[in-house]
Amino acid sequence: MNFYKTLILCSILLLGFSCKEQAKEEGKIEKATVPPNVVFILADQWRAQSIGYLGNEDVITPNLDSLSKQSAVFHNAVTVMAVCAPWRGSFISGQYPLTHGVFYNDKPFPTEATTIAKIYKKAGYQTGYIGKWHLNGHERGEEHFSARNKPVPKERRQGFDYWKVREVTHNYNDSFYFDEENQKQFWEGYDAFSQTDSAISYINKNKDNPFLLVLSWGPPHDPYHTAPEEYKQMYDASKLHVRPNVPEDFKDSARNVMANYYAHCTALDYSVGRLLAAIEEAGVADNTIFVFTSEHGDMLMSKGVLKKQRPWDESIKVPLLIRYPDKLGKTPHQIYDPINTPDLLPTLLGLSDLEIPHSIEGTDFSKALIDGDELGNEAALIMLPVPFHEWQFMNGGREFRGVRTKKYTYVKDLLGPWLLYDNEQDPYQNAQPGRYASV
Amino acid sequence: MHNLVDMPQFSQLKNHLDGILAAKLKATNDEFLPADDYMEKWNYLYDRKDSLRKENYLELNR
Repeated sequence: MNFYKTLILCSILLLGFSCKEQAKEEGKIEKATVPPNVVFILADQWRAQSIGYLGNEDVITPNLDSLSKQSAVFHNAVTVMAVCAPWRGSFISGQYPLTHGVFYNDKPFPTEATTIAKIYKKAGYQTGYIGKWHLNGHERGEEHFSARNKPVPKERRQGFDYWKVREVTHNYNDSFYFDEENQKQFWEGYDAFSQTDSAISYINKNKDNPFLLVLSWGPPHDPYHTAPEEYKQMYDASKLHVRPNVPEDFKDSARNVMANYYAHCTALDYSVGRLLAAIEEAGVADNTIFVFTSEHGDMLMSKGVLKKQRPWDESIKVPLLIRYPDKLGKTPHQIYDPINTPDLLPTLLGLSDLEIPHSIEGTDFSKALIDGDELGNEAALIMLPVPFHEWQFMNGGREFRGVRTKKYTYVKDLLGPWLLYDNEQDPYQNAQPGRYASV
Repeated sequence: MHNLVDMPQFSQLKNHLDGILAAKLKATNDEFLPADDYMEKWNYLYDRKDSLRKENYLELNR
């Protein structure tokens, strides 16, 4: 670069810097002078009840607790359909599962859909995805998990260019992925740690241009016992508190599962800390929308069952933090109105000053976040159009639709009204004895 | 506390929430059909034994 080019570049940078500083001094930035980066951190099966800042005193999550002090904190973030692929389809499209069609794991998400990376890319962003995808799916008649070990063709990556992705694995300590050229590569050690390294590298390489990065970890999804040893040693199962809706006979088993689950959570929390430090060091913290959430929860033996799909809070409520200092400030904003999965994309687009495509069904809550208000949203829709896999019909699964409000849960099955809870009076949604089968 | 769904004193609340749910379903063109209808509409097959069910599965464990 010659002297004059350098001089012009420096002048532009200084001008941009001084404008931004002035806006900061005035205490508000109406419209970001530089488009914000988006770093979206997705855990898999991390329930809202197992995180420190939402009241769990056993799990060790210092970095997320600290992040919550600078973020919009959602106390009722609801997953529209509490299972992996349907959540992912709704997140990237802003649509409900019966619109995008992935209401059953491993079914193919439509190639032509309008989705998050296509939208940001059109606005000039670099786009990157690291980790678990679970939207490629398989063709009709193929073995149902056949796509999980195969690369995702370029035209099926929904606008993501930087690509280090595995369709699905939960073998965190022997984990491979495919790169942009469909070459098979291996994550070293515990894959969430190596994926975090990769994300930090991506952030550093792209800090001078707007970027969208999705980092999608596999844990704390089962198998529960596979967290790194040093994190497992942080927990003594015998000392853990068990939710009162875990049946007596299951309490010891629940404690053992929870110790291992929490070990994964703490390992991921450590990674969140590394990501936040990297963003700070890269100098982009204020102009980055940093999101932490999970696809769905895990029953962890509440009502005698493990995992998800069910309409109870352990299954449908997830952690959600959004930090964006330039527009939302750095003080906590506690939000109790429910927010649903299809609302995430339009809200991110609103915060990014990008137009929201007509295909999106969710609601843009960015104004409420910027104004420091409640969302003004009465309810989030929850559903299971087709029971499958672990909660198939023979395991007690049933079709349902319901709403989760700030206070109530109301669910119907095909026979009519099925569940009604006052979650403020009855946070454990205790049912009459014998009304639920232990699977 | 229990599942309040069949308790007469909560019928007004139930009706209110039922109205909210109905509006959400209408807004998303969701007719709340049986599972098989969606599998057929999207030309999907059930995995393994997922399609099996007892005739009275809805009445069990309810």
